[in-house]
Amino acid sequence: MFRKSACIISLVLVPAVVGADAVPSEDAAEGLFSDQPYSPYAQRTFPERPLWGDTHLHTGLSLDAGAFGNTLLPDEAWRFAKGEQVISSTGQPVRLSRPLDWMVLTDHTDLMGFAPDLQAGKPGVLSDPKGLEWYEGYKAGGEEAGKAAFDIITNFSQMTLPEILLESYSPGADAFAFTWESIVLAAERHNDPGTFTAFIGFEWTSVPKGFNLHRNVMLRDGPIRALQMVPPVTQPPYGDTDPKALYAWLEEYQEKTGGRAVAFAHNGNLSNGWMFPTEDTYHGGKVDEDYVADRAKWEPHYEVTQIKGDGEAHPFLSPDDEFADYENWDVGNLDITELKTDDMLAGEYAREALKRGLMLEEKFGVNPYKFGMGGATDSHTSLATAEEDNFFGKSVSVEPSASRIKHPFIANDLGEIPGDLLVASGYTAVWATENTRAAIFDAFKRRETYATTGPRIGLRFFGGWDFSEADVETRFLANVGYTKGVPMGSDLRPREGEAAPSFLIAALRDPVGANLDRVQVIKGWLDSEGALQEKVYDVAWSDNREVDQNGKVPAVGNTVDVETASWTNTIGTAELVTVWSDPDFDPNARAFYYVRAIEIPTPRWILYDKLRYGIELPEDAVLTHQERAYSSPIWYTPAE
Amino acid sequence: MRVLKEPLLHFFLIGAAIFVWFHIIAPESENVEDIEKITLDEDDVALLSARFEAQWKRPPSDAELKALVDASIREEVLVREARKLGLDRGDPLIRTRLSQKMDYLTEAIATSIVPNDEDLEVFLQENAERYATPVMVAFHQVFLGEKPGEAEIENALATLRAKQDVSDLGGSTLLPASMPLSATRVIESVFGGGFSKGITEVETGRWTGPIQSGYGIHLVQVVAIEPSQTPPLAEIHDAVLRDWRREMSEALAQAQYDTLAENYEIVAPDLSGPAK
Repeated sequence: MFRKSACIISLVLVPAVVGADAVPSEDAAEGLFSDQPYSPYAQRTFPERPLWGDTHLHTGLSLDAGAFGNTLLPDEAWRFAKGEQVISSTGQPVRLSRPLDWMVLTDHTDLMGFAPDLQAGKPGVLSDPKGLEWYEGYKAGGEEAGKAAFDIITNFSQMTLPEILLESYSPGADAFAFTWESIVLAAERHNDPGTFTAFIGFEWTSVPKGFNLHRNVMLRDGPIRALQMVPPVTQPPYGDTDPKALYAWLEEYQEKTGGRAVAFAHNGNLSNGWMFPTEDTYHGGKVDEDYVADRAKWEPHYEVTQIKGDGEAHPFLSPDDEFADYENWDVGNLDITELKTDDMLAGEYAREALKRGLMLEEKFGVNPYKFGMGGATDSHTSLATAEEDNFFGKSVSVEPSASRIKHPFIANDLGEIPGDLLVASGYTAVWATENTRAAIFDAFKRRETYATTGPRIGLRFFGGWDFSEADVETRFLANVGYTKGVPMGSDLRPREGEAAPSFLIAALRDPVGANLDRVQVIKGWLDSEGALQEKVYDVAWSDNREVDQNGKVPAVGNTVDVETASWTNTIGTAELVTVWSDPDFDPNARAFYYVRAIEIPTPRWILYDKLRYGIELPEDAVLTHQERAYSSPIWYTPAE
Repeated sequence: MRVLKEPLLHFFLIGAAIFVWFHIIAPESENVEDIEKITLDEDDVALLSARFEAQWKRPPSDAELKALVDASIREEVLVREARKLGLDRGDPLIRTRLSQKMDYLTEAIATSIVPNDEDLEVFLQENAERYATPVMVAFHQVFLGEKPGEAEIENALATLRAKQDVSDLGGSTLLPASMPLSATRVIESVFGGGFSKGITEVETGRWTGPIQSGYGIHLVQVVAIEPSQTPPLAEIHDAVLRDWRREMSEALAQAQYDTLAENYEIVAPDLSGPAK
């Protein structure tokens, strides 16, 4: 349909432009693609390119980041994200390979502003014995400073912070209000609509007894609205770790200011099963109508991959998925005060949560886990680095150095996360029509986002009822996708005819990155017995590989030279485009579909450390991996 | 009198005045310690009382005030004795506080200088590239694959220049068929490094190529190019002022330190040799 009308219009227009060569501008504006009006940009109702950003970054204003010696404040973090070179807290020049298009700066709200005062040895901090002890540790540097920082974090997560410090750096205190003001104003200084979007945000750091229930919050608004409130905290008596308290704050924010906000969780893998409950919440509540309604309203997005582990899937939950075993952290909760058991995993991983959402929707009519996918760094260095060859680590203590891989992220009597397991991940791509707060925020709300573990892989995913093989051939994939179907993050349109849903899928490698191995569709559904199911389909792949007897596409190979930390794009392919139709479609079963695009193997960051510092790596260290992108799902709901 | 407009000179004048002033108001007893006599006058007591009130939202009772005065005297005695014993030396806390106070003094002076527009104009010209807008390009492109043959490129170019229907030309691709006026850095983030260089040097309106991207070979028709320019000061006044302040206060802090350091002969091992 589309193609035909384009040809007719061009036939009509071609004679009109003959002889117009002398006026290049007219000629140019006419355009060769005559499906467009005179102004080639007039009908841009759909996004042209993904906008890259980080939803989760800490500066020296955050309690833990500052305690670990991060002295870079929001201005440096913003300048870095925009592509400028900065000097890191450890004195190293650093720059991104390419600027980001947008970012949410999310300093911890609890004890916001305490860290810079600790670093400066302000009297308010030193007057408390614990404050003095931490200050002395901080000043001593090295291991002492690390110990002090860890003690601060332990006291925070176990809720044993000194009362006087808590009072001075919590809502109601001047220091808290002024820190918030400085965060808001810094974002405003760096917000440059059309070029770079600086979101005002924060992290609400709920971690009762070490169970990670963190949420980031991003505002659609500027300072006029953001400064009418101070952000909420979790430490009693000033705040509460129950997500309900956060929802109440969000409700109040929108009502009072007329603004808009969303929250998104991360690191379910460190929650010991509490991130995606189906029966009881950690705080003693029930997963009931109110819970599912609130969660669905406020959390349309999930940060699925970041430094502290990739949270898409786990081999225990998805034994048939040979790519599920990727950068998983499954030792215990955040501070390893409780070890992980297998029964906790289902409440922790995104794929399982999407499945649980179908079950809860069947029960309550609302799906609380209907989220879009995003990736973030969660760096505490003010530096949003997610590329393997440019990875500045989780905190200042593990910025590049010959010894950093020897520093465990955490180690205690119960267990350990060794330093080489930090994950150089990830970013969020947004399909938004403009690079502005409003356009990007709205894309988050409609879940038109996808996650990557760092590389800037292009990914389009449309679902509909009549995509055909011919649609693969078009040069205007997005036109077809948006016209005949819905984009990632949406519900399929009501079913037409008797066919199974079909999907238009395209993935493009990072322009400076590794080729693609394959593209997969992951389907989850609620079967007629009420059981949750999942299946991974290989839908497009490189190098003309044959599907083996198990129905799998064999591994793509590995070109990584571990001595030089290099690889070649001699395997894989730059682009994979396909139309896929669900061969196992059951019109009566609730289902979701999302896409996973997988790169050929490339070096992990530790190989670059080995090469640059000449160090030995632990024997069992994972040296190469296959980075990936996760699209937001498209959901199917049977007709009543 | 151009010379008086030099910020550095301002700085030294103000700095000198402040240091002289501090010298004058510093109590004699701090210089020649009279350990026999500790005086708390009414102003000191009023200050203690005011501090108490700020914290507890009520004035202190007589007993509380007495306790405050006693504590204050006790502190003074112990501080003086501690100094006699040299306990203040080598204490990292005290040293940090003292050096911080010196830094604050410098900072306060630096922020008190208000530059006029001439100073900012000079600063802007000296750092023009920092404020320059990026080169912006709008274009259409057709992707011909990773390694198209020469004949294929020629044919495609001829077709495009002849303005025939091209919807079948080139492969399917996720790359945008056209980009609106975009900064070169944005173009490079989509097409890969080097691509924008290829398209900023071609004739507007005419299909050209081949141009290499991170993916392969393209033919490009540039619609418009907007050259880089430095905006007038009035448009970016606040940003220039902010940067001027930042650089000036860093320069002044260093100048201040250098001046003070000149009063010392510094002996330290030479560490500038090859790194170990």
